[in-house]
Amino acid sequence: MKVVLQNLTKIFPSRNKKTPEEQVVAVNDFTFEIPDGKLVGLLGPSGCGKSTTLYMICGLQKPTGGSIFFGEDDVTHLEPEHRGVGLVFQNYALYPHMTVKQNILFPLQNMKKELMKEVDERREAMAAEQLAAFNAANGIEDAAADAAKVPVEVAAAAENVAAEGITAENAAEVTVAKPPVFRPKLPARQKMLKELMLDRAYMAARLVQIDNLMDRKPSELSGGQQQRVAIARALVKMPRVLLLDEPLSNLDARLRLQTREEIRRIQRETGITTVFVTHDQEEAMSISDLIVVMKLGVVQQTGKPQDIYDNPANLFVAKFLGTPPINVFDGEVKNGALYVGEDCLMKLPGIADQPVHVGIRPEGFVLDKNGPLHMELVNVEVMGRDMSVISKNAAAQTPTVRSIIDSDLRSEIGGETVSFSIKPNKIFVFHKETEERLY
Amino acid sequence: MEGSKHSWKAWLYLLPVIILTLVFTVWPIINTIRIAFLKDYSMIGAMGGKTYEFGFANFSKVVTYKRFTTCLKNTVLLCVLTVPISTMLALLIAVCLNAIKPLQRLLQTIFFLPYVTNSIAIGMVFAAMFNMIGKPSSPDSVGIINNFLGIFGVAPINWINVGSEYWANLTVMVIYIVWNALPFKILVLLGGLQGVNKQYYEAAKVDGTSRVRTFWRITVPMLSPMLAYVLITGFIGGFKEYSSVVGVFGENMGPAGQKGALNTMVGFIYDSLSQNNQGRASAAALILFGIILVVTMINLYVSKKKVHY
Ligand SMILES: Nc1ncnc2c1ncn2[C@@H]1O[C@H](COP(=O)(O)OP(=O)(O)OP(=O)(O)O)[C@@H](O)[C@H]1O
Ligand SMILES: [Mg+2]
Repeated sequence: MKVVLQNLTKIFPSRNKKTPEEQVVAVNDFTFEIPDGKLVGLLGPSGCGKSTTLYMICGLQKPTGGSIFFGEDDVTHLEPEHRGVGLVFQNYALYPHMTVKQNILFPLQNMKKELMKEVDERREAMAAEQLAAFNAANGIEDAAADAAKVPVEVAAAAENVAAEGITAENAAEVTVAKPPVFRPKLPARQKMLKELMLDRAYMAARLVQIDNLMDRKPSELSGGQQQRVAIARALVKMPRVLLLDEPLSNLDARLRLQTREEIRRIQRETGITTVFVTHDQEEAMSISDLIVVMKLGVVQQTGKPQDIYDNPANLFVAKFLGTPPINVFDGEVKNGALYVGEDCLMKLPGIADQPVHVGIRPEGFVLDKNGPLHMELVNVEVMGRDMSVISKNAAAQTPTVRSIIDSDLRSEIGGETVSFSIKPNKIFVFHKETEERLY
Repeated sequence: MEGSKHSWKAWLYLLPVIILTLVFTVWPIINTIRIAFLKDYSMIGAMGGKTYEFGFANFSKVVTYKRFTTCLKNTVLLCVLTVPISTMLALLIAVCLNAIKPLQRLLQTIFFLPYVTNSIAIGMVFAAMFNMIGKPSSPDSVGIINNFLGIFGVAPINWINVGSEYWANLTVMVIYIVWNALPFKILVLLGGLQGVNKQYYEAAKVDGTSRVRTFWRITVPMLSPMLAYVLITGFIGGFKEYSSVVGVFGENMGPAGQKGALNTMVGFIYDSLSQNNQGRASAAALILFGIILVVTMINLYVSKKKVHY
């Protein structure tokens, strides 16, 4: 199911009535459509309003303005319990007094009514099957037709296994065919309900591979295991939308890598529309179908991870995505050409003369003796396939500039300086004040 | 060892406390046990050089006293009635207080007032409120409670005056004790509630948990350490009930003409002491101690199974 956010805004009022300007605009005019079955990464630095957005989607916080749609339904004013969402909190919020099994069962026990319907359907199916088999065994004609329209009363009458299971229909048959009476043998409803819930709990647990930990308390689990329990608890009710708030923040590097793959796998397997909050750009890029980059409550850019990386809308997005980060220089556009210091990097027709920020991705540097960009060489770090060439430039906004180059070319480096030419699709030019992309 | 070299200093610092405890706690306990087994022991007699027979005579005498069984019955009844009622009420009030934002501080203070008020004074106010006679000058007027009940057409009830019935006396005592016990319990439970991470409630809400279920499955288990504490101290305090009865009924410990009808275990011990029968008082004190010990052990045993820490 798709989720549509329309001009979503959240303002936390100032604590002090005398200074209303101290209000916090946590989310500002957020408009985005999350396509059905996709995994969307909500990305941004700490305090940019990611959790607030998530809480508004699940209903724990009421938006100050704008609306939220699940599919075609406007859920803006719906209470969280009626939205059918699963939420994994930033710190899991597992109930500490319950075992893993009880934690996972907890949401199911809240939906007994719906589950009971499923039980009744199963019972009807079972009764129908038994009736068909019974009719076949006793050579009763038209068995298929009878079996197809087993009335609900069969299930109801069979409430108790021992109860006499004669319904109006087979009572009629009894009079015709005389001796054997059809009695559907069905387990009790409550028992079936319990089994159904347990089945589903174990299914969710197996999905996140914690079915061997079901009898432990959360305090007896590692951070990664707790996190998986939290995911299982959110998944077990088969939510329409799954919301994950920085679920990997407490994990160590390896487990984080492993778990994010797992989240991806689970999301693919279940096909549940998922929103995944993180401030780690690598995490977001690696598993999301789409990412949304936020800053101070304002959406900066949305799109496929690679598209955003290749085409950042502004300096913030360019800086935020990519490891190692983009290198930024003070530059200038003069007479239709781009200068960094004295070096003319490229022609830039159609842009007025002005000072600018120049961003160059680390992989955008090409070793070239006659290249236009001259740098002072500081260090070379060879790491297998690639090497980092660390150099200095007076115009750079950081003390050193890091470029990633094929390590086969290391013999070409030497001396005090190094010169580069720049791949044109790896260089971006931003307005000095607005920081919007110019090129 | 480095520690033992200096340990005499530690002992020195502890000495005053140790001496005080020995004199005022340990010795009296030992002496109480000793006296309890000396038949009809009285301090005056002992000072006169009288010797006493050793044995269980005090105990067998105490338990056959009709006055003692009355006291025991009153104490147990008050305990069993007031502790659960006050705990449940306190839990309810604490949960409600925790749920509201405006006026929370003010209401918290109001609920806490009984705690800082002298219980004898409160008892006297209760006695006035439940009195049959409102104003001595007009013989027809009744106390405020009877006045209030009169609005609903209830005929004036003789709560605590001459000729009142036991159930009426007990009702007044239960209301008074519950009211008096509430503030402390509310304080403890509210403190516990405020320590519960709000995210558990948010998680429960997202999962569509009903209020009742949230209360029983989340609030109560989260509060279980505080609940256990409140229950255990409540039972211990309940078995030591005394001043509340004095507050409502005065030293008579019952309505006029029924002296001691609502006396308690502690009251029995005081009475024995004032009659200079230390032997009997000690035996009763030991019995009370035994009862409290057993009840507390049961409490601890149950809470070990039910409490989530
Ligand atoms: N209840 C609140 N009252 C006032 N301000 C709030 C409240 N909750 C959040 N904020 C503010 O709203 C902004 C966004 O907060 P939010 O929790 O959404 O950030 P976040 O992006 O999730 O950050 P993090 O990555 O650190 O979790 C922050 O500036 C925060 O201080
Ligand atoms: Mg957050």
